[in-house]
Amino acid sequence: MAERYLHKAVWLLVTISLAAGFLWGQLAEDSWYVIGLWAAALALADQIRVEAPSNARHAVSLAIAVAAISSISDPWSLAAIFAFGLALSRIIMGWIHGPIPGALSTFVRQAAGLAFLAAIDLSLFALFDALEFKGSAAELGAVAIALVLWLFFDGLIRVYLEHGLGDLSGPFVVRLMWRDWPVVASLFGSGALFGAAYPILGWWSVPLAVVPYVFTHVAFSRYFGARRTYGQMIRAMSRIAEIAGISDEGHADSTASLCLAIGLMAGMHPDQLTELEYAALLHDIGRVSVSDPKLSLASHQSAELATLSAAIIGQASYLNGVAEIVANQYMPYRQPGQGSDPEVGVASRIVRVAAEYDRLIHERELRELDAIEVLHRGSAYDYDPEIVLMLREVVGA
Amino acid sequence: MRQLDFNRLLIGGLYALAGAVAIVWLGQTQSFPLTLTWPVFAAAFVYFHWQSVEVNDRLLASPSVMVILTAAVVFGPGQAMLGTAIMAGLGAINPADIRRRRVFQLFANFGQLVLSAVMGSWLVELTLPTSIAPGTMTKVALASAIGAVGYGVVNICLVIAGIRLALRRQNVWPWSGMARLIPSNLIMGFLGGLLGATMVLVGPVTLPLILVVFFVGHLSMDSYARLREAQLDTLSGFTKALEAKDPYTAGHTERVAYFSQLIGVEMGFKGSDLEQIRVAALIHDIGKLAIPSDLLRKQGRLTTDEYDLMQDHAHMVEEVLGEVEFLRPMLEIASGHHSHFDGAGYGGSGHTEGERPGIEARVLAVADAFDAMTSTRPYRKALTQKYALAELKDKAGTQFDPHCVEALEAALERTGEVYGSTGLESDAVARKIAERSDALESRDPLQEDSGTPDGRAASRG
Repeated sequence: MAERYLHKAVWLLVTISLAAGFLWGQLAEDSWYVIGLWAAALALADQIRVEAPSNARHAVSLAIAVAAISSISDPWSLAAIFAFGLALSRIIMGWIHGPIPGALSTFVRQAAGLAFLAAIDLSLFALFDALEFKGSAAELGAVAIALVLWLFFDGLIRVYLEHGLGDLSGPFVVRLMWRDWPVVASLFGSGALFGAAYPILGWWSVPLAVVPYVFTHVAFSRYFGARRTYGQMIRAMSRIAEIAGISDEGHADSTASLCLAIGLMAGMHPDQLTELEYAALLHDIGRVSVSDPKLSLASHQSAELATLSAAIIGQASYLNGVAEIVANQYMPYRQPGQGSDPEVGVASRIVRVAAEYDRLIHERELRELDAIEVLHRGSAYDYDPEIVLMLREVVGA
Repeated sequence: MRQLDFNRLLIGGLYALAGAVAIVWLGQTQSFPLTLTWPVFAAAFVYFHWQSVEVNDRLLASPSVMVILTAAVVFGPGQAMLGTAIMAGLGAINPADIRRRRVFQLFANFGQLVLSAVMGSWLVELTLPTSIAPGTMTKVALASAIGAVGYGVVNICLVIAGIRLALRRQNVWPWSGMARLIPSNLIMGFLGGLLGATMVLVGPVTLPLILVVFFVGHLSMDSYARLREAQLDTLSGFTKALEAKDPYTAGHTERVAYFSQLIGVEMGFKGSDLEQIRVAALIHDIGKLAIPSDLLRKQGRLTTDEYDLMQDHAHMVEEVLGEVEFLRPMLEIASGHHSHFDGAGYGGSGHTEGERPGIEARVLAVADAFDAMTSTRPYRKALTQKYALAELKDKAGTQFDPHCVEALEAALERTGEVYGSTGLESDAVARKIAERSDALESRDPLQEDSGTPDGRAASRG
């Protein structure tokens, strides 16, 4: 319900801005020619997206918006540029790609973000003017403050639109917001550089701002491409035991999905979530290297199998954290007469619970509630009761 | 060894002395740029230089040259050479070299960086217009680009000469490929000139803005390089799982990767092409992870079904890794490593009956067969290198590409490395061992692993 109102409010804002831009554009110091040029630049830059650590794809139009705000002080002209630019961008996108799923959410997020950015920056400029705070420090200060505030604002909007605030823990939301700072900082830096240089250098400011950004954009693309293929590689490796017929089809994948959902609910750091996912995918990999057929078909809770799996994973130093999770995933979370075992980390406990649940469902063919009941019965030592509760919530049993 | 160390110390010392002399001389003839921007430039140069990112063929690259050229433009004639020479000298004092006590690297880097910076800044001083204004931006950028080329040329010459003299060898790969970095130096120089002029005209606000963009880009590039390394590291790790399954293939994958690289370098493969062959070698047997261990270890003859299952490993590599985007070009190579030069053999998408496989698959096939013969198997001792090469030559033109076989022989001769048994009295004894194992177990000495069904010639590796 709230999302619908938010959409309506932003559409209203865009329409008002567009109308206001038409009506008052002539009163502003900038001509329609300039506004059209900026809007076209924004629309074109909006076609280029850069992937960020939080898996969001930020549009390069953010850099154009920062540059426009630095160069144009009239809020109505800015509103017209943003409204025209985003509308033109949607037309281009629709023409090239056809209907895009989630396009409305993205549009709402972008429009709200640009409006917020303009409001913040223009307020900061006015405040600094009133305080007679000028020069390089003031310019840099305005960029830095706007960057931080925009990150929070965009993160909140995105989490709200994609997940709803109730589904995610507070620490996770904050971490998610901060993850994208390098990408957003490079967009802000390039835009502000253009804005500062253009009045003096003219078109020379284009290569000055664009070339460094291109370097950064290529670096981002390569990094995220490598990250994606690394994930594909781990997934591929996890399927070896299934292809060889010594592990249940889909077991690694469904264990990983459950682990991710539980980890998300537990508020784990995004990097920890990645390690958890890899550990879940590879927790059975040791099966492929054993010669004893009994062991190759052993339960994932076998100490020998966990050690073997961890040894294989540990061959790659990049996966040392994953190896540790897998090495401990067969261990009970506590021993009789003792508290929780600190050696068995949360990730290992999650893998143990999720893998056993998947086994109960697919191998023993229990119903969801019955499988949860089995885990509850073992929660004195084997399965961490808090994680079993989270699993119950995840599967909706 | 002692003489070599002394030689390296001497060369390093001479470089460092040349660098120090240049700084002292500049101290007499130029003034130091006493501005707040110098520490910023120096810090940026040191950071970017220390955090250089590995590009293809183990070459390191960073935007540090841009910082030197920006500084040269900002400091201007009379200050540029001294200001940038001291920055470069600081950058050479790398904690990693100090920690590992790499005296030669420390001294040599100090000399070559200082002299490169002096050359770059000297060219900028010579070609910079008398006044920096919006109308002279092109001239400033060109002056800086010329300076960047000068910096790059001196840097490359000093690095290659230093390594040749210190290590006393002609082949200085991977440094011999440094000339490929000149175009990126040119762009960095051009940009450095623009940035320098912008700083002069617009003010210092531009420096942090551009540095933050480069800093973020550099971080991402560094993460990318690490992740790329981790990918290969992980692939190697998983191949070790195969070795745990079949101990007789211990080290096989790494050795095949090494032999493939030797052949590739000899045949003129470079950069990403060479990397593709190496990665294909690392994954060529990964399909065997899905083959039952008892079958892999079986010492007697295989039944027809078992033989077919064993052959499946060439397809299996595609089934297992087919969804990994960056490995796709390598999968065709890996799946074709049992494809013969004359179009016979078997394999996955890399094999078409009656058609010659790709050159990379032919390289891999020779490397794989060479290692199979020169390593010990459950059914026989390792054969001699001489015997293995003779066998490869014998099958050159039918099973193997003659150029690849020649390249392997030439590479082994060049490196002076010897593989396989060395204790066999004569070639006749070696031949006898190979033939006896063939006769007893119906095995093809050109291929690793165990038998073939009903005495058929096998090609399983």
